[in-house]
Amino acid sequence: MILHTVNKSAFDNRALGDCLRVVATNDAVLLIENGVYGALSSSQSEPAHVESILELSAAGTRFYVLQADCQARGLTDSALLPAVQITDDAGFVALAAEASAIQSWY
Amino acid sequence: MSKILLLDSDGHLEHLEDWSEQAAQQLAASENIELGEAHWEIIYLLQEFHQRFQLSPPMRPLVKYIAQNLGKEKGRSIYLMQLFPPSPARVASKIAGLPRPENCL
Amino acid sequence: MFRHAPYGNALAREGLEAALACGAMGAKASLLYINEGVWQLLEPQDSSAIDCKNQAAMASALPLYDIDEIWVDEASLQQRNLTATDINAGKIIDSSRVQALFATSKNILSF
Repeated sequence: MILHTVNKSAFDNRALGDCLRVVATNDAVLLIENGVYGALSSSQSEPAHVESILELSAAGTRFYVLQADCQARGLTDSALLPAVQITDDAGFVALAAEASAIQSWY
Repeated sequence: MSKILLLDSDGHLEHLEDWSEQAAQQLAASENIELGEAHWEIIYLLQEFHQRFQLSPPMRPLVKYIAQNLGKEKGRSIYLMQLFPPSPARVASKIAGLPRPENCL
Repeated sequence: MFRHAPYGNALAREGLEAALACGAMGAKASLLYINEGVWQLLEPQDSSAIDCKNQAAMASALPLYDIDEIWVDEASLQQRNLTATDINAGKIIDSSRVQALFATSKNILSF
């Protein structure tokens, strides 16, 4: 399993879209820093990342956001896609330990 | 007659343009090396490498490049060690007027 | 893994230096050019007027540093209307091969 981290907002950077294009179904994607905006269920970003996240998640790819980064930015749990799990630093470490390698998209 | 050469903290030429065959002989003398035909051949090949790739090669790529251009007999670290002791990539690049190779021990 | 275009920032050069360092130390490394990184392979480059080292010239030394596995993402080329004749190195691979490359990598350095 590869752990992909994305730390840029999909509204000003292609990191999330570039990641979603090559992520595998047994991989995990962790949205951190400004990357957490990518987890908003109301997002109308172009291209349609929400659809990709839902499709990939249905196929098995796991999605996470870092709770502290959501909290800092005023993103409440209810605003996030249900397909995205909320995790903390310990969860980040556990994912990193589980992964065979980490790819950071920035 | 020796000319005053501007050197960096590693003893390499500060400015590549200052290089001349006489400068090379001065730099070689500071490493206790007297330059002969075999040395010049390597020095000119090193300068060609730097011109072409904009890099000062450490040992492995230097050996490979020499093997490609001057043949397998010369493309060996033992051969270079005899010409440019104790650290051929560093010493030869210094005499050739190039910056110190990165990733070079 | 190269994801950014050359010269606008230091990423491409730093990535190349990391690859050359791996080669010089005998560490096995493969390179993947993807997204904006594919611009690094465009020829001819002449960076003399912007006072930068020529990335393409440096990259052409990679085989001498025993870095022989160079991959280029097909979709990234297509998005930029580039073809195999526009780039100076690398084998073109599709997304599934990119995934396989990730899966078999011990470490991924992204530049």
